[in-house]
Amino acid sequence: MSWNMARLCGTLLGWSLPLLVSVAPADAGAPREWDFRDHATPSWSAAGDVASLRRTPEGLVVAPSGPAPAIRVSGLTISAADSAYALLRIQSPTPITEAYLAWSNRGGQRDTWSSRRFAIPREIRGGSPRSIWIRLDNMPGWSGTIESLAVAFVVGEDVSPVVVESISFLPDGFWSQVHRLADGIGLDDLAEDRAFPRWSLNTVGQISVGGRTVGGAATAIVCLGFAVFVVARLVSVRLVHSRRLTGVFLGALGSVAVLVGALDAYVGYKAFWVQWAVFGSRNPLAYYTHLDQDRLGLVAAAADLRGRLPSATELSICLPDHADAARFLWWWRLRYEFYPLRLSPDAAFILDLDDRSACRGPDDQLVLDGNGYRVVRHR
Amino acid sequence: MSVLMVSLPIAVALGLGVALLYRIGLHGRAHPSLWLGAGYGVGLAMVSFGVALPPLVRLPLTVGWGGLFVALTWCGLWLVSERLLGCMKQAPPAGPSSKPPRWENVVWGTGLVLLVVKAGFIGVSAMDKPVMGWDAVAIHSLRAKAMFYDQTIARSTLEWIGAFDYPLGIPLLELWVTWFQGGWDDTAFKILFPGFLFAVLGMVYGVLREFVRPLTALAGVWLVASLPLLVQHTTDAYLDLPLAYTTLGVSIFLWRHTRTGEMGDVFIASLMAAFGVWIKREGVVAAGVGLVLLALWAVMARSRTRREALRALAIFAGMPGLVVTAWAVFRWAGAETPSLSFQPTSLADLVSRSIAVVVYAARELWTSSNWNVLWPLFAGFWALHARKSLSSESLFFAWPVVITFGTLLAVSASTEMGEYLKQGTTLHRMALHVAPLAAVFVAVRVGDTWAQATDPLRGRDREGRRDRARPG
Repeated sequence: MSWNMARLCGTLLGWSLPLLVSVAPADAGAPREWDFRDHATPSWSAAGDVASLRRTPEGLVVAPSGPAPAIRVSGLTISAADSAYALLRIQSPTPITEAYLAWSNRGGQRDTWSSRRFAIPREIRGGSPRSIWIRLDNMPGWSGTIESLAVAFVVGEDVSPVVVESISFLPDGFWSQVHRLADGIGLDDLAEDRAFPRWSLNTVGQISVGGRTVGGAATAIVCLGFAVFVVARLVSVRLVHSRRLTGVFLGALGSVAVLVGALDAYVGYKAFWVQWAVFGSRNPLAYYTHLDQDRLGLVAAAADLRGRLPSATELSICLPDHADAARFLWWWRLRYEFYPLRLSPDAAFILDLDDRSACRGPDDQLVLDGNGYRVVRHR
Repeated sequence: MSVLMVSLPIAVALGLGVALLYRIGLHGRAHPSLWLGAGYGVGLAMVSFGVALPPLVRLPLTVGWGGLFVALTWCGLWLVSERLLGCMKQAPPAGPSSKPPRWENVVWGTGLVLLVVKAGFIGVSAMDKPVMGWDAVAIHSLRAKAMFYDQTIARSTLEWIGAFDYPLGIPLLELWVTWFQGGWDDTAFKILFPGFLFAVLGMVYGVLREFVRPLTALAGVWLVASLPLLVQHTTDAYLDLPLAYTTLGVSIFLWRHTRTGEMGDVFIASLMAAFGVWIKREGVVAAGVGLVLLALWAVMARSRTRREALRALAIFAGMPGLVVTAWAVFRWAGAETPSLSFQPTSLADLVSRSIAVVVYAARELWTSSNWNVLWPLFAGFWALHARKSLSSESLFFAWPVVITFGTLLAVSASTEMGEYLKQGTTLHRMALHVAPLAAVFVAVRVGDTWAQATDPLRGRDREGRRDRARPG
């Protein structure tokens, strides 16, 4: 499905959501928080292109059967005034650029339905969901008592299941703000970057709050501390030996260092668990699943070929087209992985993992037909 | 990968290093954590030099021959140290020795437990994932893998993987660990890197105990352990953390020599400098800075005999000089390697580029997330104690930082290195080489600031004692 087709589906879905939801049966109870990992929590219903809807320990698994799966619930009595934010915890193996949260007020007339578009980033590697905050109190239509809700995903041709861990509606209180701020810092992304260093061995990701970096703020406080200390000592010579002044000064500097260090340690802790989720199985082949972005079985092919081809055989790999830095890194990783076979762009032997005829000439001779790969000799 | 077979090559290297340092008498003159921390690097240095020798005499690079040459290297250094250094004096470790109050002991104990937890997390994190950093898979670890399969250091390997003249210290150590596994393992050899971190922490604590109370020393160790980029490098197999370790070792043992007059300390510094050169080309900077500072100290130390000063200089320059010369001969016999070219420019252009580079570096170091608040603290405490800029601890813990940055900035302003700098691939990794030194300096000055405020007389006395320790 082309991008335009996906957009069209999304638009149609946006218009048809109210219709989908208006025919949904009313569910018992009136919660405003659903943790689908808990089996006692009432489920939502399928709507649109849903092949199956399952409850698992990870949450509510939505398996798409078409471009626009959705889930919905009715019979609610959520006060819009007390619910300024929606917090969705969703896990999707691929990013979903277009999704909708839709609601209807009491009465459930078709023309009273409203929706808000949002995007779902790719899951954290290892299968952790993302937190998505949606501000609702400034949305037209978010008023009175909310009776029905729906969440829809525009997935296009991708039929990978989407896991909804939880959906909750939160007031505009202090803790909601703290929670939202904490999620907004982007620690999940930083943790993933630490766990899978690509460029982070040159510089680790910045933690920033409201557009200001924590490192910059901490530096400003330290500089201010030195300035105050020096000025205080200049004002009174006796202060040079003031135990209290020095104690406060060193304590302030120490506190800044401890706070920044603690924040970083927390990112490291999160990174550890992200990494553990991917590599904890200790299966050597599983080490590299994060590299096999195109699911080509490169690592398995490398392990197989090392036993079938003589050392120092030069191979060229027919890779899918990537124009980003990942391809560059990937190439070097594969060079390491295939040794003692040597990867070279000009090699006579071509490793074809995806039956990519574009990489092969009409006169090429098939040398090896392995499990999920072919080696041809270029003439 | 079993825990035993991963630990064994490290234990062997540590044992060799600790034994040599015992021979030199460090155990009687230094804090145990400094002895152990230095033993790790000294042992690995001997392994990396020894493992390089079989191919030179056309022997296969196997565990048997490698082990034999490591043993020969150890014996050789033992004999050299005996010949050069003679009988060691057994000076007791110095440093504040008054009994700390109970609350301080409690805080110290808690801090230590938390540090062990953090170190454990970092260690498990490093050993839970395969090598994946770009430089590691593209160059260093691939070289080690090639040496493992080829059982030699093939010329084609050096030409095909990375630049021809990249030193081989770390790939040879990775090969050493792999030999004990019996097969290539993408994770096992990374044990080297948490080891380097723990050794850095041990050495930092050991040297700080010669200046400050246990709690301040532990705070200094925490400052190092909370440097995000240093921790990140512990989990992958880059060369910058090992080089940071050797740079720290060079400064610590040269500083100790200026305090104790022991040639054994110069010998250890020399071995550390040689290891640094064998790890990464930038190791030459640390060795050169150490040599210059030792010469400067010799000039400042008027009461020492010139002969003794020259002897210290010769001992220090010996081993790194040998490694640099041998590697230069090898390079000369090998392929052409790319080098930086100076970009001729006008004075005004040079000034404007220099300013741009300095502003960029300052912004990166002071506001990035890589360094906690290390660099503002370093600058602030330097300014606060500017009068002590020529004291021995400033000379060996602060000036190497400044000279290293100065060199980087000068080269960046006058060559195409400036572009690499602005891409963010150079600055922070160079900063990592000297970050532990800066942390030691900060902790020493924190101790000075507190001593000055709480007990001016004792503070002055300590300074006086330090001054009296100067040979001059």
